[in-house]
Amino acid sequence: MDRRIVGEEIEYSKVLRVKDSEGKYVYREADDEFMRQIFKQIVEPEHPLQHVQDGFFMGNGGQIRLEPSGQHVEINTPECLTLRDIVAQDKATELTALRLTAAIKTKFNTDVVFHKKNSDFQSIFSIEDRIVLTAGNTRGCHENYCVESELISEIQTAYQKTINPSSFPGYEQLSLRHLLLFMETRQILSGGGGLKRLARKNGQSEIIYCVSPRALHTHLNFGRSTTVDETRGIINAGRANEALADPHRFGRLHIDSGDANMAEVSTFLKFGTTSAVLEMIENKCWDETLLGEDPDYNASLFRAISRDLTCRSIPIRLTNGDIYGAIDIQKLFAKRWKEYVKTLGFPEEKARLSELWLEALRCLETDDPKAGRLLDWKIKLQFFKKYCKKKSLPIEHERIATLDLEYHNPDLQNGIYNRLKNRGLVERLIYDRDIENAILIPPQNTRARLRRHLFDIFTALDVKFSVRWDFIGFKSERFSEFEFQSTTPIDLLDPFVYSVESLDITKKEKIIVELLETVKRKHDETRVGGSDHGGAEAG
Amino acid sequence: MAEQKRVKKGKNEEVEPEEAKTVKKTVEQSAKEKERDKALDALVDEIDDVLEENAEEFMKSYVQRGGQ
Repeated sequence: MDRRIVGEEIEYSKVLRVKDSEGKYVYREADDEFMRQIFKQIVEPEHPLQHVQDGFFMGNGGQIRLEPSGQHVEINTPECLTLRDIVAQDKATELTALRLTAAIKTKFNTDVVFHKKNSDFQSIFSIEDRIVLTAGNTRGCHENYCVESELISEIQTAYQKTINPSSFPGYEQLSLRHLLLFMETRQILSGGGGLKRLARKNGQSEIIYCVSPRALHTHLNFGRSTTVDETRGIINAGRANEALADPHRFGRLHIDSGDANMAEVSTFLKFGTTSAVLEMIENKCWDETLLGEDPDYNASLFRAISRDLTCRSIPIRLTNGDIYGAIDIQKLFAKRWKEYVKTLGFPEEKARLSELWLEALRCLETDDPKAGRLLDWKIKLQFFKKYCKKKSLPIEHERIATLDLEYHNPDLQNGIYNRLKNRGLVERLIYDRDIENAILIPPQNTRARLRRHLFDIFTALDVKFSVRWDFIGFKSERFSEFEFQSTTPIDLLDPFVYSVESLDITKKEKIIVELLETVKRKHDETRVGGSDHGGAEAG
Repeated sequence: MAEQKRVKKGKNEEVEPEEAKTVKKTVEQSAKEKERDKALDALVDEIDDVLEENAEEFMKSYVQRGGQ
């Protein structure tokens, strides 16, 4: 695939701040019942577009839901085709969280802060409960990449090997080993950075700053569980039957081992470099010498690289005997991409990715302070070092853990990332207005646009309907004059199809949508003044 | 752009302006770095005011359940 649809699912944490009887602020996790009330009284009335399973679609084609395993607020971006769009949509989830904070304040006179941070400093498990090292709790920041369905079958086979090695003796899918080598080193660009208290079984604990906190929660190459550290994989193999599109044509590569990012450059590189490597694999242009020596060792390396702030001290041995550090490995991937992009004639965004990828690696390699303006884990570390020096505190101090958390507070004035941004201390890729637009308007070249178009029609016609990522069903007596049933599903199986015109001419969906448009036009004409209020203002 | 101009100029003219430019650029960059460092300093000074009044308590209480 030369064009790739991507999307992101981010679980926000939720901190409730209340005053105790002495007037002092105390904090706790907002409880499940309160979260359900928030959704019932605030989210549901504002979002008429209810998902058939759970959650609500928003005006930009994305989704907001209460994530059942921890009652966290999960905000999902719509389908994006460009890196610029995914960066804007990723940032827009922060605005959605902020709006919710404001609405809760108005409705319940209560402060709830949603942090875009998916890995905690503290652990709630008692040490005895756990067999292995514990590294606090974690939530999801999952990436989705639309891929050729063949890749998903290969991941399934590789997963089978993980759980039952004897069933596939000698099985090695080389392109997957290539992908794993990329993934274990990608964190030096996309790591969220952060302090972690590592509790050990003997009761002692150690506090470290790591490149990717989420990496410490990942123990397999391929895993199905998204909630248990020991069985979480660098690549998730549990979504094979959930393509959210035509499964014969598309697969959904699900990655649940990454961090939530604040820095635009980190998000751009996270989605950009991963898409790049997938494209080279799919087009069989990948560098076949880039294979880790021991395929079973990837997850250990993934965690070890997270703890190596030099990004070059952990030796990574390739099958040809060469040994490299993480920066060098990434440089080999980036150089290959540069050559590949050259053969395509340097298309704009792919060329931009090539430049930024190499530039970020150059900054890491040469200890250029610019790295501290590009990448989350470096931005944060640079700030912490400054703070510690001025205040004479060790980086392990709990106060630094507070700063770490507040870096991810989406508050536009007070969040620490935003304070750095407001002072021009981080590099930007998009404008604030791009982010503001992204909470209202879907990407204009993906299925999200078509979904919004249908919302608008149904809402204007006051038709009840239900929505899934790849499907819209509706129920209305007013269509009985037409040939289709009153409960007709409209399948949206191709995430690249963004307009009614580009729907397959022979498909019933096109006919239905055109009929709906006709009905809506008539409806609009007969209304007093013929004004069109634009339907779903659900952003 | 700089590359193109350089080609048009004579050989002797080309070297010095380029070098001068590089020096100027480096000076500008280090001035910018200093400015950034100052801004970071200022942020460190103000940050305690915006943190929760009881930051240690805040952190101790920050216990969230895991998710996906």
